[in-house]
Amino acid sequence: MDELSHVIEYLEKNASEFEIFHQKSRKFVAGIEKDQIKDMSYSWDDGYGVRVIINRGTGFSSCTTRESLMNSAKYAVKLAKLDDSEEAEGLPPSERYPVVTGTFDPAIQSMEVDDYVDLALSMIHGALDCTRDGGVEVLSGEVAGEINEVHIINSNGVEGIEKSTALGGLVEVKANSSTAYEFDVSRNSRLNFEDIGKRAARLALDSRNGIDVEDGVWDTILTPAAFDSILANTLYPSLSGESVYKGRSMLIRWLNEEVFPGLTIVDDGTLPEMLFTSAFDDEGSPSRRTTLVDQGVLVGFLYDHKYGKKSGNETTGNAFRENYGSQPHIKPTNICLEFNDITSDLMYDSAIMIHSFIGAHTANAISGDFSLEGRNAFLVENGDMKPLKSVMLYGNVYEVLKNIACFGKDERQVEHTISPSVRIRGMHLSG
Amino acid sequence: MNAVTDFSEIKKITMESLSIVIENGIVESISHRSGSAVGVRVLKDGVWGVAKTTEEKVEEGLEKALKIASSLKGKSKTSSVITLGTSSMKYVHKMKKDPREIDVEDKLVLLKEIEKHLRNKGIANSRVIYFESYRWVDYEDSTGIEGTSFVPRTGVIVSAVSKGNGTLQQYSERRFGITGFEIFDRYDFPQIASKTAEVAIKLLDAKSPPGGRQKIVMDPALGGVFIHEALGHAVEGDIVLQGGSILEGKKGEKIASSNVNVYDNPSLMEYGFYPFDDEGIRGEKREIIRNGVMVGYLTSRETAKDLEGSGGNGRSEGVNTPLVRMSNTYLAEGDRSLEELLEEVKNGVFLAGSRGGQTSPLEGIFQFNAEYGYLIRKGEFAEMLRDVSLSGRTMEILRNVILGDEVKFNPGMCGKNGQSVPVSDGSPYIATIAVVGGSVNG
Repeated sequence: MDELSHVIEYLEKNASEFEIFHQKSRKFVAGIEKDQIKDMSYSWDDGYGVRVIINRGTGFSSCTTRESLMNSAKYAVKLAKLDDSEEAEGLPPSERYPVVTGTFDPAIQSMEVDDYVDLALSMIHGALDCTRDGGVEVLSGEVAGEINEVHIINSNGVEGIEKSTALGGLVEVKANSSTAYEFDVSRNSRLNFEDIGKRAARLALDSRNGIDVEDGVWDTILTPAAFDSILANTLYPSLSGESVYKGRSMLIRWLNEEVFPGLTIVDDGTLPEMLFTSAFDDEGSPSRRTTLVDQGVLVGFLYDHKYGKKSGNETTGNAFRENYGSQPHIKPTNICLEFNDITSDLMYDSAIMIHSFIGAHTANAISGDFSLEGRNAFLVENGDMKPLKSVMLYGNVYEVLKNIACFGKDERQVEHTISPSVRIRGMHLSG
Repeated sequence: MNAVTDFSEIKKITMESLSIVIENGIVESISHRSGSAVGVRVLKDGVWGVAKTTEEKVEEGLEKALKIASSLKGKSKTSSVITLGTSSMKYVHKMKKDPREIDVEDKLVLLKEIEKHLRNKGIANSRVIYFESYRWVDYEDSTGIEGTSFVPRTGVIVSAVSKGNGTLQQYSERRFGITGFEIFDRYDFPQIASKTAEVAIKLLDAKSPPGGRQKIVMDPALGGVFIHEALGHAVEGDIVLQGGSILEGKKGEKIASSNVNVYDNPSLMEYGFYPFDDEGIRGEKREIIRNGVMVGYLTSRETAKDLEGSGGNGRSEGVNTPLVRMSNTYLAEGDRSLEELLEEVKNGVFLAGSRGGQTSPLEGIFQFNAEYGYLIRKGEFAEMLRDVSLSGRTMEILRNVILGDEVKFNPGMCGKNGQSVPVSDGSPYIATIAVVGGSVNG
């Protein structure tokens, strides 16, 4: 009998329910500095998380070797007995998983040192070759590729095995005293690294010689990256069924009301090729599509197994872990935003366009208030773009979502958000 | 490995931690974590190869690192590192009360008692987070440096969400240290919890600040964040050499008023403490600004070579590649009491605490959100403020500060390139002029 079978036998005797989560990852990272590759690393990471339920108490312990797994199982049992909250709602039942596609590319698995060298150089050259006059410098960046394997079993018969890949590039470029960064991540190897470099360089070049802008109220165009950083730090934590259950979400007051006219928000963990697509979540529940806002009406929240049960709903397949060392928490998968008015030209009349924000994590996750410094911001007038020296944007995420003028057509995924650039009416700005 | 490489190191990190969350009166989670990892780094013909591996695969890791270095030859930047004399370092932190010898049951009783003090009329959510963590390091390099260390960290966060006036507001306090269970003797957590709930409730009625450029006073928590974020990151050697810092080439220049002295000191027993950094260099006090003159950058083994530094600030999360990082970074004290600073400002805004912040070290601009604030009227605290943000140009601020007479340190985690390390920021009260945000109409 191997170690794993011993551990399972022990847990069957000593726990009401149990779960073993095993994660194995292999990763290459090529670091870039000052127009050159700086270094490269390869990493192996392997770990186990054991979650145990006894008398509605939960215990968790993690380790990095199979030899310590029994020790972790015993620790988790000890902690579960000490948890007197009676809050546990059991572990998910065994269910059929959807077939998801485009999340594993064998080409990434077979990539070696030289392949990463080529991709990193192509991104660097993409940036440097952007102008003939020079003046562009690559400050830093990286190219990273990862193969991730998850194996989860629980005492209710859940068994999930999934292998996935990701490949991405990030580059920060300087032109005179202006900087800009660009990035892209994909589940497959068909990513254009040269283009990432080009886009960063163009943005840095366009941002030179910034002018001042007057304080006041402006229509504001947010790129998908800027939009994501606001949503991720304010809206998403409030969409969690746990936040709602615990009184930490402002959203509950608007349930079943038309609160964001024209807007539809869907969480979908099954979309082909998207960054957070998987057959099952990190506690073994099947992934699915969940409508959160339907034509402006707030209709639902995201749940894991525990808070799904507690709120009289069912899990939406949104239990995710940072890694094997953490218990699952409610997180979005791929959030798709759609709006009734779409235009191919968001730059009508005058507006301020913002590419990204500095310090978006400083937004108030609970009230939704933010005041953020925009990066690579432009004044749009008569279709013309003038770079701005600095701009602060003040507001509240719920006001932003109520005041969408229209969506553009340049849809892309940035982290959990799938959205085009958006135009928001009447935002408070100071220069 | 000495014969074939310019420099190489092997480092084993072992971690163990226990965390407990008590929320709304009940146990929310108890988690135990343990694990180890091995980091191998080789510099061969000026080219870096790095492998992160496990104890069983050290040989395989070393081979991979060497293979990477060979494959990158001629295709990557060449690097060199400073080397120091051989040494053997050993540090084992002695705790007065080892948390591992205290029953988890007793910890739960203690934490539930603290959590009760958060539950107050108007509080919608109350939470106490406790953690204890242990880090063992075994370091060895090709220059004859050996180090072993054991450093414990223990901490408590109390946090309350209040509800009323159509809004939710949150406030939290944290106390972390290089310490064991004696942290509960050092701080009166029930009292800290009561105060936390009070502030959260008061925030419901707080107003938005008047916007615009004005006289302000920062408390030591926000002042520390300012020094860490706005100045500290701009003196990190890797950022300087990447051309990403406004302070590049400024060594020897007067960049701040004469009362400004800034240090980074990993040997202080504050949250950013380490006996030696993750490149085997002893943690020692570094001067950054002396009497307003920029005197040195923070460096790693590699960046020290170009910046005439002596290393000692190469830190990593786990066995990741070390980056240039701060430890305990602080602005030294001046000679004014808080009352004198408020009197100096007369009419303006007082800002306290920080919800974090970020800066552009190249442009020398910063933006922080304070946790709360007060209007200062006729040299005294007036109405409470919330959603107060602060922005400005770092160098302008440093040329115009009046400093309080006592430095206070605040612990935190600092993130850079995806790696998070424990740090502390220290500062006295600071009076200066900056742009206060909030409502533009304000």
